[in-house]
Amino acid sequence: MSYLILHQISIVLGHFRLQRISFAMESGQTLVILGPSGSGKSALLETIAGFNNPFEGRIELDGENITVLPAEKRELGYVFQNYALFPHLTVEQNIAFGLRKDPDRMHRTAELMNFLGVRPLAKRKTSNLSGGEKQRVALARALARNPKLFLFDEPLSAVDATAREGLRDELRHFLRTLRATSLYVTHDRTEAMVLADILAVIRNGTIRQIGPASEVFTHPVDSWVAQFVGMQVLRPEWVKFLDKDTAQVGIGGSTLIAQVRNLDARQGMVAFQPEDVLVTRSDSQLPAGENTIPLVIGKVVPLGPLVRIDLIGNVSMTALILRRQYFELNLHPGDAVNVRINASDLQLVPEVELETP
Amino acid sequence: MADSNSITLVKKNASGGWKGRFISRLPLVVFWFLGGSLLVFIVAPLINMGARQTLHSLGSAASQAEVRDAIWVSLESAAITAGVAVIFGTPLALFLARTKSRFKAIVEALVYLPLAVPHTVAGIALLLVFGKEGIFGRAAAPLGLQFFSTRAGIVVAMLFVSVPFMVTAARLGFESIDPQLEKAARTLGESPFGVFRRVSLPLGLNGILTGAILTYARSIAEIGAVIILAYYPLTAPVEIYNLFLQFGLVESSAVAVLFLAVTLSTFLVFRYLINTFLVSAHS
Repeated sequence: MSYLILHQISIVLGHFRLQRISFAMESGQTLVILGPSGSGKSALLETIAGFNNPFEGRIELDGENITVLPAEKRELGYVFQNYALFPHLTVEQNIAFGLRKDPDRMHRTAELMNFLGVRPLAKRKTSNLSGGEKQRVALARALARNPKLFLFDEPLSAVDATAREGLRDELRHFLRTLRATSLYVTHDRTEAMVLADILAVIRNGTIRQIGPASEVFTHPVDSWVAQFVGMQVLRPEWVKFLDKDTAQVGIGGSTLIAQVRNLDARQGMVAFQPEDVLVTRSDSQLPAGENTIPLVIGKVVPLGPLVRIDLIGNVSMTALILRRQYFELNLHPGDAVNVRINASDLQLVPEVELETP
Repeated sequence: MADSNSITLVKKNASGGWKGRFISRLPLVVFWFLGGSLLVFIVAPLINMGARQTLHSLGSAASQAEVRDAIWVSLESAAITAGVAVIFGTPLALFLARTKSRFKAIVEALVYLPLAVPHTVAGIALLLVFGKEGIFGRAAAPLGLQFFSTRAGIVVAMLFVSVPFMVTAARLGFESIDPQLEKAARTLGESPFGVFRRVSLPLGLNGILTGAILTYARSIAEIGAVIILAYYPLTAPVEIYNLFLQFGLVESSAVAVLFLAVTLSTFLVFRYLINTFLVSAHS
């Protein structure tokens, strides 16, 4: 019996609908719900928290049906966007907020402040805390009542980029240390990659794919999911199925082998991660090999430790390589190169309507 | 040659600069003038009226028992009205701040209605329901509560005309609270009433108290509705109106200045107390 079960949950919020959301997760797991803004991921979290009433479906937590239970009775720890700390209370009062009826609250509050390292801030108001301090106070406050489930609603979305990485690592440490069962909503795929045991990709109120995070990132179910998790998506010139798992595809005038994924129809698109695009100089002594397309380096954009290479020719694509590697290969814009994508890294997935960038 | 040229250039620049500066600042000057005129329009009549008084005239006004009584009735009734407005206005303000109901627009229109009703008309309408034969008047009679020409009547009249100020200010206070704070309190085990008591009320207090002050200020100035529903006991504005009709400008203006001084000082004291209280509570 799973720990958290959503069965066919549907809600209507104005013109927006969440449609028959179903999933189950085990105790101690972190499920990340990844989706673009307006996809319904926050609405889903609020439904589980008890702020939206589903018109059909059932939510079970730890064996109990909580579908119609009021929010205050659900025993959840909610960490909000911007953390939602009470501005009229001190750090200590914020953490003790949910412990009003707990006779042991002084001791419990002190324990939580020690655990999250915010004891020195106890008497401070929350308005002048740093992003990291706010996060720790919010975690302590959510943890205070020993919740059965943690809900995170894009807590890092308002944090500036330099602080985000540290806070993300801290969150990961928190979740792994406590083995806290958590649902984490975000539109940031890096956050999803760092935090998720299980990943659900949501679009327009429906879950498009759910599974182990590594599986979703490497084997997307369709072209939209592929694009959303950061893959490049190309329409092949032709497709010839070899068997049910492999096909030959024509890309940029070359013939490549791709894995077939979830494809009933004959219409498909190829998807691959830009870091799986291997670039070698075409004048090198090495043979071109299989799954190779001759292209020309267009633009080169340095991205810190990585370099993004825009490749042009019969087809356009992007490769992501280490900066060191870029210099070692002695590559320059205008150079002719051989571009290889291994068959195991090339997926043929069903084509669905893509987002307009 | 070069020198004279450069001098000419400097001169041209200087004169162009002055004109340019003037033209660029003209809108600002016009704005200051318009705003300043309005302030003069508000303050000048009151200062002029005050300046015409002597200590003697103010002293003789203050020595009249009926004048002191009228001022006291006004202060007390306005303070009670503000209290009643807080109790009844706060829930409505919270409703308007939080609801997404389609009835919101109707409720909003109803709350603002007193602003559009002439106050004498409001007085007549109130008299019809709160008078001895009115539906509320009859219902309250067994409780020993009468509105026609009583202190309760004054409060009812004051409340009717000032309630939009209370509800609007408190509503703005509640609207400034991040709804996520209220949700956070729910997930921390608070019932909706607990959320109100521990989060919405302390964070919306600023708006509620501002509403109370505005209600107090508006109530103390009311005459139109009061004079019809509760002519007696005389409030200060009614007393001043009577004096003006009976004895003319000089006699009435002394009492007017006295009343204004008392009103303004209570107003300032309340503002000061609230600001100090709120600042210390939020720092």
